[in-house]
Amino acid sequence: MEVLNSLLQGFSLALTMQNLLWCFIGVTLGTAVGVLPGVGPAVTVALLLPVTSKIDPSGALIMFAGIYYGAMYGGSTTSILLNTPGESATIITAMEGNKMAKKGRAGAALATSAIGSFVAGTLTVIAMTFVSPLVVDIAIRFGPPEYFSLMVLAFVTVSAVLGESPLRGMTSLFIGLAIGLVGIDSQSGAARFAFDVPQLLDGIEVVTVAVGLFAVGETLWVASKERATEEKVMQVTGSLWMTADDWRRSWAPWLRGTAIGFPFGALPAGGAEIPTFLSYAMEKRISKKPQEFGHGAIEGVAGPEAANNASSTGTMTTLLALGLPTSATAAILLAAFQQYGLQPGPLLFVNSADLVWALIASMYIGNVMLLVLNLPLVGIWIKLLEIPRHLLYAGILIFATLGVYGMRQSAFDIFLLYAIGLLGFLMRRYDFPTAPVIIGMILGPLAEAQLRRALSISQGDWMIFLQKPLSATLLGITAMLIIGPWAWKKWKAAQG
Amino acid sequence: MTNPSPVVARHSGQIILALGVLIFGAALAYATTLLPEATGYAKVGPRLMPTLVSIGIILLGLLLIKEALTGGFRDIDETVHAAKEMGTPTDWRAFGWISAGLILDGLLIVTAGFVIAGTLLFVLAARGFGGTGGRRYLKNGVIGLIISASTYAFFTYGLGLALPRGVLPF
Repeated sequence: MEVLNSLLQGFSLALTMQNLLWCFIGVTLGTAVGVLPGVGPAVTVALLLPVTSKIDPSGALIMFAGIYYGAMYGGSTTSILLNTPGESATIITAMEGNKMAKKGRAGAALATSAIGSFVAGTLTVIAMTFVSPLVVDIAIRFGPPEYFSLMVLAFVTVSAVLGESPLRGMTSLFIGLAIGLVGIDSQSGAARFAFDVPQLLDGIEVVTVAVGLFAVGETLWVASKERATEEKVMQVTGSLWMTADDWRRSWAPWLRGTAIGFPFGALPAGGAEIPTFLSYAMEKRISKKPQEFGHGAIEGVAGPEAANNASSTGTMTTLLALGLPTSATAAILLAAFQQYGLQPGPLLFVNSADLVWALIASMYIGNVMLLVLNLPLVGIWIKLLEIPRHLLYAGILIFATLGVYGMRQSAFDIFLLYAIGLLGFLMRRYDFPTAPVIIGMILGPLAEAQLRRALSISQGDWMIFLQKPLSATLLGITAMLIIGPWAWKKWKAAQG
Repeated sequence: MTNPSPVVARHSGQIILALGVLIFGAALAYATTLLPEATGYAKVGPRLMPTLVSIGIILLGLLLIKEALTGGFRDIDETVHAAKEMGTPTDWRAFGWISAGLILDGLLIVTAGFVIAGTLLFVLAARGFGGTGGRRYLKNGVIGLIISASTYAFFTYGLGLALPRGVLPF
């Protein structure tokens, strides 16, 4: 089988000492930032983008991917012990897992989420191995109109369908698109919105935006609202081993969670949040003891934890095979590829097959490392939760300036970082989602290139997007996603 | 005495923000008109995407203004955590300490060097978080120095990614 050959080839590259080390660093960092409140995988990968100028692409990308899926493991630890979701995909775990911890079952909750994450991670990497070549086969036939329509669909799902308010989501997305426009236009060479500032001619770095919104904005927010948030770390009581009953109740939710999470991550319906809610609802419905849900039912941890891990692999699949990022972290991973002059998508499987398969193989290895890191060694990560907040956030700011300055060696970017931090603070204050900004600024220029290419082919005729059947279908789905919920609301209101 | 209408008072922040979005969109649209025109038969050039984006932002700004004026932004995250944070008045002094730290860092990073600027940032940011821990300047200074110096050493000597040395000799 061709796929297995490629995969074996990938393993031979991923198993070199050097790449094993990068993988280990990645998953360890990922777990750490997943555990720590205030930093997530998106910021971490962004901060490490400057190192791409110094290390080879396979090592760097293996490390970055490790940070991404590693954070999914670490996030659950925080949710269970702190009742504050380490990130949005672990909201459910924060509810149900924390209830288990309060009943003295923290050990079992940590175990079922770590093992569930491992089961989901491994099964979905297998799925990714076989699905991505199929996706590549289809996507390689995409022309500019199809690609542009696909990107429009992705824009709408990440900003308008997910999240609370389509209006605020779209506003965030368009701010991101505007940021992405700054600098020299790669096709015509015209300078756009740079106002003769040399640093703006090169465009605005994704590091600066991601770190400004997520790290600086978050720090300003948390510090100025500190009196509102008091958190207590729960002690891990009870055995870290699951009882026979726990296993019996966990295995099926793991598998169902995996089955829900992967397609959700893979479709440009991105986000790890929705599949966790779906998995939770499903487990509750199937359960013979639904009354236990909300009071520490192990199924309510096992399912959603598997689902969020599965969706992160799904997102990676879409990123690699289609070149389409559906989460903030995936968008920054895309930027990491671009640092090396690589463009994820079907051609990557043709032109850089070694790299892609080494990356996929490293994910099998990374999941094994993560199981060990998160189960027997969970005690180390709990220590991280005890770092006093003022030291934690002050430290994050040092790393923020390091990454931002390191990218272009320019003090201008530190001021820009602060300005974007202010924007992040405002967005937090008025409940605007931040991820669409990142996706907009990274995917925007790619969408623009496809749009202009498509219109050049059609000699300026916009009908080309409707004449191509696949493109028209994608735009139809997009229109339905925008109009559907709105029409539904109107209809319900009319019914009284 | 005439009070402003309750709706305006309650959502004045939202109205200002929504106006800001509208003004931003209008400014972007104006800047777009200064861009070179597209040439060629297809009429696709550097102006196309900025035109679409600025029209989008203007429309979104108008819709936001409408929401802000008619009862406030819809579907605000009402989870307990967020509501509690929203209800707490903003501590602008904390905000100020952290802002000062970042602005000073930007001013000093090249002249004084990464390590000194970073240490100062650390102390000021920790102070922003208040509490007794934030006031232990000496202790925080030492911790900040260790963090900045070790990352400086790792990046400069380990990865060969030069950070500004500033006034320090190495």
